Amino acid sequence: MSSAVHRRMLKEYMAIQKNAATRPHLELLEPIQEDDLLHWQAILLGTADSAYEGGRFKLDIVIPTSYPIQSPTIRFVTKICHPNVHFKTGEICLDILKSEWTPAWTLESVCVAISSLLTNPEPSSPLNCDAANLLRCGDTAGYNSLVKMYTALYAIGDDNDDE
Amino acid sequence: MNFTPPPIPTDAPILAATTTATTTSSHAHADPTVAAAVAQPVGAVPTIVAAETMGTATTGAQGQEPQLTDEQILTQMQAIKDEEANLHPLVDRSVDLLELAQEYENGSETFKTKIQNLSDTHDRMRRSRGDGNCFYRAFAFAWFERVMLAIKSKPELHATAVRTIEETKDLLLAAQFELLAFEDFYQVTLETLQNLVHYTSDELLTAFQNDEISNSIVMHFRLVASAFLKTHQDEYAPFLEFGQTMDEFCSMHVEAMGRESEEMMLIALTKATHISIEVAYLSGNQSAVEVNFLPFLPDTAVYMPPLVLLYRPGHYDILYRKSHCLEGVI
Repeated sequence: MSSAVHRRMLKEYMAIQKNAATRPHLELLEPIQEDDLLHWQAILLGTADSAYEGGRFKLDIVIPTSYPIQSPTIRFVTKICHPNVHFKTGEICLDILKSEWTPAWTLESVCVAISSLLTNPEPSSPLNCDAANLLRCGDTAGYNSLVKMYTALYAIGDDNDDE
Repeated sequence: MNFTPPPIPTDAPILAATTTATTTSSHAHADPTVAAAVAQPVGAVPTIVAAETMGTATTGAQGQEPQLTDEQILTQMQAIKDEEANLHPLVDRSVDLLELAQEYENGSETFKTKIQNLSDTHDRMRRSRGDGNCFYRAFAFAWFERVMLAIKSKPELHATAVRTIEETKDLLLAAQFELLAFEDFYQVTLETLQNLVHYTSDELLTAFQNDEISNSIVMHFRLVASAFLKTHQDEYAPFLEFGQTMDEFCSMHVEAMGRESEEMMLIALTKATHISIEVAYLSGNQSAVEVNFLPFLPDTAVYMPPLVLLYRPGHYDILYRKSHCLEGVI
């Protein structure tokens, strides 16, 4: 069981290093320690022209031994204001991480999907109701400034690496 | 071959590619294209919303429901499923069909009569675990067992099977699956097939009872069915629910482990592997005393008698026809 997942993670690791240049919003995706291929971290970069611009958002990724049949568990380590991310725990509400996971995904493609969730929030199924409510009542300006504030507070500068 | 070319020229899976392609509208909550393509957050959300509302409404009231996170709910659901599943091996030893009749001893007369009639032509059955993957597992086992039992009398069946599996790699690539994502499943499937040359019936059963081997094979056949549907969208998309794309259908119902299969998956797998299947429908329909047989045929010439699967509402097992049961297969 475990040898299969290690083989797979090693392959993913090599593929990620090769593709690094083609993923502008993914600054980093690697095992936290070289000898533990089941615990990874990633850093997403806020898209330019979005309220997350300038932010660096760290993800914690835990790979189950049954991966890729079962999905990885991914949460935000850096605090982020987003309708589909729990503000305190960093839990992400994204179908492909839950009920709609399929083994056709790789860590890299999942991170790209999370990155695109940032600019495509789904306020109808919120984990952060305050952020979602702003969007639901059409207050884009309010939403954007709230996101900008939290991005500046938690995701810009050095301190977000310490968490 | 018709499939949507991915907007990203890299090896990102088409799911992610679609995502990036449709990120134009900013946060429109009701745009189904964006919502769907962006892998919209769903799942246990209604529960959470409900729990929150309840929390505020009943402040101070007696013991509130514990608020579970999505992950906890999923873990619990998985635990319940596992518990159920572990009562049975992934693929069981074959048993006399009359054993199935005993299950219904105190039950429906209709079932008893139908099984009795079925036993005129079929004498054994083999159970596949009811974990949502039963069709794929039953199909793979029945096929591989056929090939194994004929390895001396009809070695060309083995060669054809190996070639067929090798060709599925091209099909998966044509459907834009990432080699990285599918090659482990593909390798295990191919190796198991190659091993049939020296396998005994017990060894084949052991392989299919091993989680890693068995699930890899299931996964490979799931991806093959999905790839076939994606590369034949013109023919199959009209059968989807309104507004659903083939990619959505495939990721939700075909590729994900544990999702039950419907007719469309049977058709896809039959055509992609050139293997014919005959499904014996054992239903509670009282107007008939005979089990209904439904054939699923490939587009190519049938070169081997169909694999027989026994269907009871929601579940597939393997059935063996008398004339070529086990040893005397072909």
